[in-house]
Amino acid sequence: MALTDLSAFRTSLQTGLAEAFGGTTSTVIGGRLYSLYRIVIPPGQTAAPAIPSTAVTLTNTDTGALNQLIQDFTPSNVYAVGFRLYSSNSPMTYYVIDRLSHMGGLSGIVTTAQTVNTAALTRHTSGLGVYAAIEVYTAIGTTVTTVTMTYTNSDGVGSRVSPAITFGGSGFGAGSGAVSRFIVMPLQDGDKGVQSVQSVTLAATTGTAGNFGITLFKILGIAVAPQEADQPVNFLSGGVINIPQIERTACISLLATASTNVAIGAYGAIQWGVD
Amino acid sequence: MAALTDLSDLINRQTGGNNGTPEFFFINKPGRVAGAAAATPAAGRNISLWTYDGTHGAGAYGTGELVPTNSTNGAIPFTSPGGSREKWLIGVNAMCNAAGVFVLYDRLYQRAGLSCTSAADQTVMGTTPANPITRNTGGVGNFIAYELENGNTGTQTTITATYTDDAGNNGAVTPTTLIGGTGFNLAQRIQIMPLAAGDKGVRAIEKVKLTAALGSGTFSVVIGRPLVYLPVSVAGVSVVRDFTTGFPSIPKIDNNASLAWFFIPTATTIPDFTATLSMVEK
Repeated sequence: MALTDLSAFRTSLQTGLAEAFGGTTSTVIGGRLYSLYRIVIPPGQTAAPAIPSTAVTLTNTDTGALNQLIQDFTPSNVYAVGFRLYSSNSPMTYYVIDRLSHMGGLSGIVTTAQTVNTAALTRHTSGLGVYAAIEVYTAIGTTVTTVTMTYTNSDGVGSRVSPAITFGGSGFGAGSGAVSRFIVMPLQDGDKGVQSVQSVTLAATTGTAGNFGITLFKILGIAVAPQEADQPVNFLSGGVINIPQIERTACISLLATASTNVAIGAYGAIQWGVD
Repeated sequence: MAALTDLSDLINRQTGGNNGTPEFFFINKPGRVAGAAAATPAAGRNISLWTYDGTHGAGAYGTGELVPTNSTNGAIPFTSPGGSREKWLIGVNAMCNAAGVFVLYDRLYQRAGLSCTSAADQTVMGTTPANPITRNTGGVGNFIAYELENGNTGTQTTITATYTDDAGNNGAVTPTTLIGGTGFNLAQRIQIMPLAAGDKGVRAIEKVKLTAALGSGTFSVVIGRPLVYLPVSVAGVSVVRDFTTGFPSIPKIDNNASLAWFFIPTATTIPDFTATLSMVEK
């Protein structure tokens, strides 16, 4: 099934279900990607989700999911059709993601391989278009080093090794702007996605253990808030005209970038439509 | 060939109806090559992101000739449409830690391993190409570029290319273009070469020649076809190009196109680049 035409899309915008979220970040680094999973809070929740430890998959029932109110419309499909944004202090870019799995408890001072072993995917199970990111929960150290991961790619080939990427230091998990920093891991040549991550290895210590984890996610859509004002946008004209289908059990979450080093008030709502 | 009819047609296909087969790509290029920081660019000088680490892997120069496709490392791995349908790029978004212009192009051909230390003719495709371009074969709109595989040394000189133009004439020669020296000596640098007067494109590159040898370095030559210019005016602020409402109108993506990026920086900042692309079929 699909939205049949412009009228159906307009109907979804006018009558679709909207779910609100809101939250305020600590200071972020402009131009760097952040997870809002533990920052923006869906309706009915009074606290941010806990920092994960063991590897788990996530669904729409997770505390941080922004799509908890969608009913089961089977056999109809649900789409993200609209987005209302208010971003204080900075123009913003929001990425709508399906947060597939996560884990935490990794250390910024351990230089041997640290076990990750992400939980088996329950959506987008081939891993095609699924990426892995380091998510910083508490600040690591100021010494700049690099990190690699071993993973199984979307063709099911294991023991893949990612190119080294910067980790530690300002903008990469230390000091101001450390918390919720989301560092997307590059993949080995030819790979188009990730099924699972087995381990991460730091080339050297960052100087502080902190706490970081690995999150598997798939980006579904994007919404841009170029001004610090309340802005209704729809995914037809304001989101790279992508109208993403939302799987019934998806754990919808947001990533974001700001243009400058500020604390961001991120408030808004995502509107769902049904075909 | 059938154009998208109207917004209703677009919405229907974008949500999977009528074999629309929507595809949405996330691209992240974190400013690193082979696990180390990329070369620091010179302001206003184009750099290639072909070998940058990140999503969809890194492209490679390899050795000899290559006709890249959508299954080549570094290219965006979209699915070529089935049946008689065609692929349309309906929107692009980009955000970067540095201001500049990102150019999405179809990388049609490359020859690697050419020497900066030779002032002799260096064969690229010859007069009868064994590996001709397979897309936009008429050549109109295609460019020639050289791309530095590594940093070079020595006194700045010039380079020319002899090519087959869009009318099929062999032996066309480009005006001279700088190579080597400040702004023209860093790895990942990609320099588009002007065409002879009257020419509108390129079908093949026969050979290249430096006016004088440089001290070191190797380079590739590339044929490409630009598709999208994406200006990021302010670092950290996302830009959206909605091709359904703005110029240029919805670009068609050739089957098997090797979609790649180069960047025209406004400053000496290594780009950390994130983008999304949205496509449908009709």
